[in-house]
Amino acid sequence: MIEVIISLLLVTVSALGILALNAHSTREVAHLKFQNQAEALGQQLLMRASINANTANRDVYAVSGNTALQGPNCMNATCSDNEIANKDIADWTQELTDALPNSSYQAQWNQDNLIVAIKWQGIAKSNNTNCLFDNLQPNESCRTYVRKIL
Amino acid sequence: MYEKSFKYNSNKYVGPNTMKPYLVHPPRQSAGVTLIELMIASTLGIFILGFIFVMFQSTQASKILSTEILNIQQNTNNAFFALENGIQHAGFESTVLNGPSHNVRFPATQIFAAGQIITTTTQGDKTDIHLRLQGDELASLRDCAGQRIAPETLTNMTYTLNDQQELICAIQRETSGTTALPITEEVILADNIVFMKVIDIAKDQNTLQTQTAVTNQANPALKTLGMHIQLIFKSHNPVRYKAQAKEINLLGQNAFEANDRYYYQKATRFVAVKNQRSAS
Repeated sequence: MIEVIISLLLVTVSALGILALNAHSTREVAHLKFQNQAEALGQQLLMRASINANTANRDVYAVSGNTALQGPNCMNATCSDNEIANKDIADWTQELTDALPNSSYQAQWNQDNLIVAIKWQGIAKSNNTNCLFDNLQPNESCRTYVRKIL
Repeated sequence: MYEKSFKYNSNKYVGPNTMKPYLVHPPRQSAGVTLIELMIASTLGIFILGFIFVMFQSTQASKILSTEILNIQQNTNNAFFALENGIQHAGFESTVLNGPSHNVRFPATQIFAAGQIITTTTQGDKTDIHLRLQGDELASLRDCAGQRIAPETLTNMTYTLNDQQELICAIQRETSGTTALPITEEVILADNIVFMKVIDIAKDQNTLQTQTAVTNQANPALKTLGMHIQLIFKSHNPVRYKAQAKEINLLGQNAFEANDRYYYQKATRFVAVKNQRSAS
């Protein structure tokens, strides 16, 4: 009887180990995917701002939150620089909230540099040290991007 | 008879530790298994095999999904590397002293207005990006096929999705004049792309107003400043055992919908056009 119990225990432990390995691999791949998307999104806002931001509309790009914002519909229509800035933010927050799970964003100016921070729920990695968010949880990842805009 | 023989031989024993013949202690009888034990063992075995099978299936599915996601990441990087490289070089012109004006270097053609260096054409679920540039004096600039562009040579590049869901770059070269030469080369940059839409942002040089999704291709006053590119990639292989409905939100148009066993992923980039010039 004792042999049977030991065998069952071994089989169960190995099975659980394989399952854990599998889950870990899936989490890592998901993290890689989200990290790539965060990278693209962070650069995207900086690129949008580099084209349209000026001293008059710069404050529009300084946003923070965790939901998609509304903006003007400039499709096939003319818009002012200020309206385009609002549309940039609306498009960007929409894409961000679609792409990353439980995401939050924060953008702020440091003189002529725009700093963009993005956080989302996922595996925390070592790159979180310079994150703009104060209350980062252990299960949250954060990326920060900076560029001289003005 | 054996007993007799044994008795005869046993007379020679001298102590209790001497080995005794096996007939004194015959081997133990094998106990065997009962039907109940057999049934329990079989049931446990079936459960364990079933569990291993489910686990194997799950691991296999996870492996396929991971591979497909990584393939798509690689494809995304390839596609955007080529697109960004092309768009950011659009309008590059050789700088020769007393050379012709920007509008002469980039003359009007069927697709472009005079001086226009980048434009788009949209049909259904796909946008084509057309751009042009000149080779530099050292011929160090390369087209999307990796070929060096000769100095002063005007080169047109068109990025488009073909029917095989491949992102291709078609190259046309011309040394002078406005006649479009036949496509000399086509290069596949990435595959399994089911959707490609571009929203361009352009500023009117006369009114200083900005427009998005520019449709007036022939207006030379409109200078495209940036392009928001949306691509949707599809996995090479099915990743699910049964079809699953999928909806992907897109900017500026209805969501992309699919209902099959494949994995879809949207990728977007915003690329700045850096070489816009005034007409003179």
